[in-house]
This record gives sequence, C-alpha cells and structure tokens, in this order.
Amino acid sequence: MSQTGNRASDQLLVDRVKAGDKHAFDLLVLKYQHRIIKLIMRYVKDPSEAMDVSQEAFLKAYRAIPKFRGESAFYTWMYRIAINTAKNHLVAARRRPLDHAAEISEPEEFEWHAGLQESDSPEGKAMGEELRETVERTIVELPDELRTAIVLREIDGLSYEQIAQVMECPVGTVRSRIFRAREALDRNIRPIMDAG
Amino acid sequence: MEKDVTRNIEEQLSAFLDGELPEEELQLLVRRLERDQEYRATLARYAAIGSALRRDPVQVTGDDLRQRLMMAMRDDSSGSQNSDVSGTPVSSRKRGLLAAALAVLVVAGLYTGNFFNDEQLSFDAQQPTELARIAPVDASSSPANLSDLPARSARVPADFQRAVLQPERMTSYLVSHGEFSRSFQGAIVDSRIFVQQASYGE
Repeated sequence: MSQTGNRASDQLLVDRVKAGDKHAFDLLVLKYQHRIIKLIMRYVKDPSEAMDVSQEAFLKAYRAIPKFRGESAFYTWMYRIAINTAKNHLVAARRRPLDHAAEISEPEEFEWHAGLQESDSPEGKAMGEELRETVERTIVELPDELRTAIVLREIDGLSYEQIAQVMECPVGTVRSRIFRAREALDRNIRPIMDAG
Repeated sequence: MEKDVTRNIEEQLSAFLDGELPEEELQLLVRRLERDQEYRATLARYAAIGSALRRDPVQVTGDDLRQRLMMAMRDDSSGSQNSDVSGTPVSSRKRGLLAAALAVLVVAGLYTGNFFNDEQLSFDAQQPTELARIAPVDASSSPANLSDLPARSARVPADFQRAVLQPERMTSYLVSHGEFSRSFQGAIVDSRIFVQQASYGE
C-alpha cells in the first residue's frame, strides 16, 4: 500500500509540475531531499559539495519532468538522475567515486546498503548533531505504542498496513500514532530548526 | 476548534510524507500546501525527524537547498519546456548532431584534398548499366589469376554524380544552411569541437 500510495501521491505532484506549478515540485524536493543528499554523499563526501550536486540533480529533474511518463516511480527516476549527476560531477572534477559508492544500481539496494555505513565527514556529523540528539532523547520518552509505530515506519520502512498487522490495530490507529509521535518530536526540534 | 483543524491537517501532512494519504485528502492538502508556508515548514520538520532517526549522514536543518533550487528554477528561462535531463534543449541538440555530422564530413574532405576522391569512388559512366554485376564462378574454368576475372563494375547515372559529388555544391549548401551550426556558436572550423560537444549527455 505504501509504495502504491507514494507513487500515486507523487504522480499527482508531477502532474501539477507539468501544469506549471513550481510549488508542487518544491513538495517533491521537500519529501525526497534527505534521501537524495544521502545517496549523493555515497559519491561526494563533502556535505556542501553534496548539497550543490543535489541541487543540480533536482534542477535536471525539474527540466526533464515534462518527459517523465510515470512508467517508474518518481523516486526511482529521481534516484537515477541523482546518481548520474554525482558521477558526472566526479568526472568533471577528475575524481574517482568513493570506494563504498561501488556499484549500487537500484534504489532498494541502496536503502539496504545505506544503513551499513555512515559518513565519516566531521562536517556531516556536526551539522545535525543537536537535532539528532534531541530526537533520540525525545523518542525514548514516548509511550511505547507511539515509539514502536514511528520506528517501524521511519527506520524499518513498513507501510501503515504492515505496521497495523504487527501492532494488531486498525490502519487509522497507526496513522494517528505516527502523527502523535511526530508531533511530540516536533515540539522539541522546532526551536533548533527555527534557529537554523 | 481551530486547533483541531490544525492538528487534523498536520496529521494529513504526516500521512502525506509516508505516501499514505487517500486521494481525496491529497488533492485538498496539496492545494493548501501551495499557499501555506507554515504547513510546508511543518512538513520539512517531519521529514527531518525521519532523517535524524535513520541517522542520515547529513541533516538538513533549514530550507537552504529548496530556496536555492526555487531561485534556480525561476532563473531557468527554459523552465520545464523543451529540455532533456542533460539540460540541453532538445531541438538544439538534434540540430547540433546534424551539424556535427556534416562538419565531420566536410573536414574529412578538406583534409584529404577534395570531397569524394575519385580513387575511392571510381564511378564510370561508361560501364554497363547494372549496379553490381559479378561473373559466376565456375571451378572448371577458374582463372589463373585475379586479373583474369571479369571486372566488377558499378554504374551511377552521370547526373547523380554531378548533383552529389561536386564539392563546390556541398560547400555552397553548408554556407547557405549555416543556421544549423548556430548552437555551436559558429565553430565550424574544427570538427573535434563538434564531436565533443555533441557527445555530451546524461
């Protein structure tokens, strides 16, 4: 359900972009920027450089979106553009990809590999340290059912339906629990984000 | 009451981020997000929470990337029209490829002294009418050497030769259709430039 839902949801945004709505593209960026930056950092180690390459990748996607026919999911398409952009960037800079970038050809494969290795960039670690600490501190204080729901969604990547099966509750309850978890976390991270 | 509405919308934002929002709610929410900066900021924070939980290497704590991107999109005069993933306008690219092919042909001809050297294309109007006539090989009457074989011949009408193979006309054609080289900024003197530029792509 999650995959189909995401796809339908993204396609609606893509259709709006095609109709000239730039804000719809902003929503796609907002939704996927973390994953795209993380992907690009497999190739480009420096965080600020990775941000530049991410911007370039999104801009290429924006320009090419009239040709996106929806035969694949938007993220799969965006993922390929991001990899090509990162590789081209390295070629232009006459550098080899990072060793661990290796040959990860599919988004699913990347998701699996991504959990195995973390960037050793000090800038990358410093950038979100406060935010990460706050999230980790807050999540242990959440009621069990909220913590389990958000962890199954964000870390394990389960759909609402799958979470409902695991937690033996209706899908609507899962949606509500995940939201309440985010709401609680948001209260604590908001000052950090607003200051940034 | 207003707080309930806000919470309801924030719950929709949460489901939207997970790709779990039903179609009917999705349409309304996307329209709302277009005009409400505050809800966009909330969505960005929800996305950052997920990124922090997954321990992503870079934490996006602001909207710097999105702002830069929106500015670039605004500045991008070609917008979403007529471009491919490499960012090169499609029509220019097609014309560029044609120009590159023609340029290679011209420069190759110039390097060798003239177009379609007579030795390479030795069409002879006096030869028989068949385009290709090869004598049947008979084992019992195999010639002692190759020179004894009947000549392989080709015949092209004389007017075809005049129309296609005259270098003056080719040059004239290129000069009069010089607009094809515009995307290369008139750099028609060096075919290597064309080849490099035309081969760039995603």
